[in-house]
Amino acid sequence: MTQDIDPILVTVIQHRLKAITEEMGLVMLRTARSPILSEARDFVTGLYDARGELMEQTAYIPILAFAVPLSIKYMVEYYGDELYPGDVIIHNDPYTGGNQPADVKIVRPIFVDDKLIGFSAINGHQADVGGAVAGAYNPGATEIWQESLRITPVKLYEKGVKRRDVWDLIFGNIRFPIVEEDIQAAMGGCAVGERELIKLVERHSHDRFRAHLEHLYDATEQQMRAEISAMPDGIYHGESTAYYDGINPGSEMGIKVAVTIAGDEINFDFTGTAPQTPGFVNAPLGSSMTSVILSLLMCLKDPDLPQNEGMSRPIKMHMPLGSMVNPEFPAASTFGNHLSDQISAAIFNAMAGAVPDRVTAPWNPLFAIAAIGFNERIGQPFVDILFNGLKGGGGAMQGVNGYDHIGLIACGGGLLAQDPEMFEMKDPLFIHSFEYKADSAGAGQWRGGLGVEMKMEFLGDGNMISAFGDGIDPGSEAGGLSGGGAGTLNQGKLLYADGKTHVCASKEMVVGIPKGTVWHQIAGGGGGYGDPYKRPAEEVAREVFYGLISPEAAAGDYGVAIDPESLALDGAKTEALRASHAE
Amino acid sequence: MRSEGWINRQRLALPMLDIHTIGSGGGSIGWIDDGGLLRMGPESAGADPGPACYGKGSDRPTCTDANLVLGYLNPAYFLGGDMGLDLEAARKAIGKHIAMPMELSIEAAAAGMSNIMNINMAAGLREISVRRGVDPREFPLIVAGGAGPIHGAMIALEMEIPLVLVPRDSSIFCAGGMLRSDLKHSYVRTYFALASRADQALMLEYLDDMEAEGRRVLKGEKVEDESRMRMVYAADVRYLGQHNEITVDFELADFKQRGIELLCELFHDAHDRLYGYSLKRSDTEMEIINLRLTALGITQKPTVEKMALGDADASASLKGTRQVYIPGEKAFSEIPVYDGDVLQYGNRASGPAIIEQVTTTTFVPPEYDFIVDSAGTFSLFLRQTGDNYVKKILP
Repeated sequence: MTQDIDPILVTVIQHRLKAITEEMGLVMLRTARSPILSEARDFVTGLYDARGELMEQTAYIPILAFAVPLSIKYMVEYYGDELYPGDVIIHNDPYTGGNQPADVKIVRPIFVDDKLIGFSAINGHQADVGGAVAGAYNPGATEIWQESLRITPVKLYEKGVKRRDVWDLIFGNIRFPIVEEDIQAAMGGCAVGERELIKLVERHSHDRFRAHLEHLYDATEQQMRAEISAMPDGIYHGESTAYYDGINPGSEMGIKVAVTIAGDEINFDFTGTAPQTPGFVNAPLGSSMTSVILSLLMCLKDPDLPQNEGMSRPIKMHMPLGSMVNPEFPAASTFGNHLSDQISAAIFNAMAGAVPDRVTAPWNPLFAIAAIGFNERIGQPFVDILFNGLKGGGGAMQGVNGYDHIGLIACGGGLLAQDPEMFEMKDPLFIHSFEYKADSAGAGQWRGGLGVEMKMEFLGDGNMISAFGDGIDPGSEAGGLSGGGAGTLNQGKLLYADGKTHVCASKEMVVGIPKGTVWHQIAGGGGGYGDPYKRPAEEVAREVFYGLISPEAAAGDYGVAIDPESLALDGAKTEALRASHAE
Repeated sequence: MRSEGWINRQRLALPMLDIHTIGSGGGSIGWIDDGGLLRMGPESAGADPGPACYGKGSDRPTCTDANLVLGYLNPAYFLGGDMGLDLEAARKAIGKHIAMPMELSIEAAAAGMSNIMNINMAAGLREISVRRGVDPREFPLIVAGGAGPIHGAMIALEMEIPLVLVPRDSSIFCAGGMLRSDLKHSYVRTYFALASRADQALMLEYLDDMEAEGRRVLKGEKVEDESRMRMVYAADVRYLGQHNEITVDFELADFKQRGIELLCELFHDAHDRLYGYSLKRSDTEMEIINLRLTALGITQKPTVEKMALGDADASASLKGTRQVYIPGEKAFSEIPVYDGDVLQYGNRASGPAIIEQVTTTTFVPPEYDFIVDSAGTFSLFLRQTGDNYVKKILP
């Protein structure tokens, strides 16, 4: 079968596929109930070919994205020729290609003339997936069964008919009724993807579509190879540390990576990384692979590289089985998505040797809580991840400050903070304050992004929080690069109405939180890049004026003297400070 | 239509047509950037002082000046000859600001200016077609405005668009559209209730109030005849717990008869159509958020007079010939000029050609032919794809 390739049609098809995945995303944004989906956009939509290869996707949250082909390939093999038009498959199991038990996939096989041509899929963070703790973050878990209902691929619908027994079994093991509704939203999104993909394929004939798709894969592969070729060959080593496995206080786990750039191929080898932990601080293969790809994407010149199978062809990876980045069944792993902070820090640490002008200093590592309780007003339980308070600063890079209040690197800037008013309407929580935290950013010629400080009050009784993250223990803050300073640590405290205070560990569950308790959280800043004494004094003065840097930090970190009364720049004193520093 | 338009980085919640704008027009000024490259716009000379060739004191070279130098415009027939264009002033402006610094001939500089205009406009078209996964070759390009038809076919050629339509009243196309539009007033009243507990009588009262207001306002605008008023009733509905609602239109008589159940059914159907699923067969609650009424005052539309069919021969409209720059050949050529105000239905000719009207000039490049349809529209079609199209135009 040879087909004439029409280059314009290749571009049209690529953009059409992209537009379809955006349309699928709109269904989630417009119709899902859980604010984790409809507001924070914690999901990804995609189209995959009959082999399970990625055709195109819209990664609202990148960490959920690149693991999807793994599980679809598993389904292709698992079901063989037992896939039919009208099937809907549900899946969340990290040991058959999933990335995190709370991220539940809905997958629809798509047929034209009785021939399987591909899949539409949505992978989204559901409010609950069963298991020991509502909302899935169980810091005490040592096995997957304590984390969630383990769903290997199973059909919710077969040939268009709902399997009522399967449906009732699954949703009978999940706490919140909104999950059942949000799964239907994902099914709707996949139905829209199916409808539109069939239209696209039928209009061009399947052979012609397929030939142009292969051409698109090849072109994207070529683009990726050109990007890698432009980087200097060599073996680059990097490392980072994750703190506290949730079981053993004071534990530290190293991540090691050797990045080999050879011609137009790149290999990431994680040999030497700490063995899997006894708790839930483990990254399933899907999470680890995604962390690698999204870190590499951030080092490329072309930000608009199409996202398809061709992109990953020149990328090789080795994650030793039984290590923290590829744990053995049945290890717990809900924390896995968040190890992307440390995985990408290790990769950037290595890539700084190859492309120093394209890596950022480390980003503020995630520290978050899921708040769980009962909403008296509507008579329903609630669970919400407090995205507002968790979004710290990004790392700076040569020529650019880090992003303020951007959130963990795994989300690549895609994570939205909930609208405070919608948030308060939805949940029995009240936000007292929510603002940038002065002096949280790592100092530098280009400073890190600022973190935020938030105070929020529980309006009802009997709440519980599940804290998960890192950046709490000394040493775990986002470090600086090329002479830049570190950002500040994360912090989370419960201030009880009776005056008692509880400081949270990075992985911990606290129950029985009464009405009137205030949750006080500080998300730290990102690391700075380059010598802070080279930052223009006027720029430092301007940020002092806006309250982003204190006069003390301006003098101490940057050698910039600011009059504390007028907040004006003192040129002579600054010169003296900076001159004495140079000596 | 989309209800989440963006204008100058501000998000608008008003329903509006999905329009992408580019700052390119006859007044766009040509200049040389710091890198020594030729740029067009976004600064514009406007209509006053306007292009250098208007002779109102500007010496900055514009797109219109380039079109004059390239022969697309006739210095003696601008506005049908009511306004003379100063070719020398145009040449001088292009010479001083573009040709001399770039060490080009005046003609080559003008050709460069015109080419950049075409490329800029083609990029805008790509943004709303290819970038959204829509193949522009499957659509006709409709060109309007005073200067558009000079460039339309060149842009279409760039994008391989086979068909370009130039309405006979191209220069007043937008104004004409405005005059034909209906008057429209939109009212909204918040009515927040669970569908199962909604009060139909109260909802009817709200709708009545809005309708009375709409009719009163239309009367004030001289729409006195009730038969020229049209009312559209709608409600915003969502499933309980959703963050976004869908506006569903309904007939008032149906609503009176079937009540809230009608809204629920329309909502389920709309949800299924838009989002691929509905919760029709579950016990999920629905919420009503707003009631809406749109009061339309139907304006009288002018009837489009169909022209009588003439023959294929367009030579009766031939005014003469002139030297015009042909971009594909990078050279001037002596080409026929037709009087667009005389061309008849069925008349047909091959490019290269100029169709000259009092308010508009259309350039037909060598790759295109043109035929006049029954509404008087000039249809430019890529020659190799033309036969099917011509069959559709002729009776």
